[in-house]
Amino acid sequence: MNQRECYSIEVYDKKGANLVDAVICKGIFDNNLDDYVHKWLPMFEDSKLRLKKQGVIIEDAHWDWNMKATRTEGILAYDQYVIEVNEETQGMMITESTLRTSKLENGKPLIYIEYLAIAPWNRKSITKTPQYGLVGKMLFFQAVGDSVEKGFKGRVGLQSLPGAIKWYEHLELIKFDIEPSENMHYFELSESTALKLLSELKGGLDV
Amino acid sequence: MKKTVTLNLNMKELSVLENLCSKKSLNKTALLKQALYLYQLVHEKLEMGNKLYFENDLKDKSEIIIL
Repeated sequence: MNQRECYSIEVYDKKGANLVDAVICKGIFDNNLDDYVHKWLPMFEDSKLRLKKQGVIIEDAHWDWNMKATRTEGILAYDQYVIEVNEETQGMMITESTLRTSKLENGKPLIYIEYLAIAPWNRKSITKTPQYGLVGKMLFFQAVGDSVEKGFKGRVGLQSLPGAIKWYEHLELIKFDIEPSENMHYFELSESTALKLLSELKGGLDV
Repeated sequence: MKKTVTLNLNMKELSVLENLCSKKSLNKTALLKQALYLYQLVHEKLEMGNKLYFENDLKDKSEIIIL
């Protein structure tokens, strides 16, 4: 990919208590992977031991975004997104649009969120003073928007890490029981909830 | 940038396309894009030396040979 496709959004600066300019871009580029290696990973490492003493595990700390980005680049079924503030990577997401189908709508296509992660400094599980809010939500809404654009009527599916279950429940995704072949709960956004979320987005998000 | 292409299908192919569009609630463009995405993904996996299997409820696996 040679040219970045980006558009402007806003995220919530929790320290300044105001909305700030950000961009959401298609594609995970070298600068994003540099941020991951030189900023995300060191903070994960620094936090791991401290959090372990508190019984907290960073569930996605082992995700290798270099490998994930390389493996999915150029494959039409996958889309990669990043959110940046002042050219610093605040969140990354990879979605897939062909292999999985809806459990709610009898095998109809959906956008499946393979991976979604926000920078460690934006997580209240890692720091007492997270920097930006709405990063994960804006990435999730990008998946919902893609679903509408592709004709999937907002259907989105994903498997949630245990630590994110409450977040997806709050977004009113339907939670499915863990199947024997899986080890995580499957969640799906219904068409009607997708419409509701998108109309809320137009009216302004709760921060 | 998007370009429009013309697709020539015989009646049987068109019938299958329309039937799948109905089942998946997609228009013809969206469905053919889905087919292209899947074909590319399968092609890439096979080129890497992977095999494609279908599995039934009894966990019987059958390899799909793509020529």
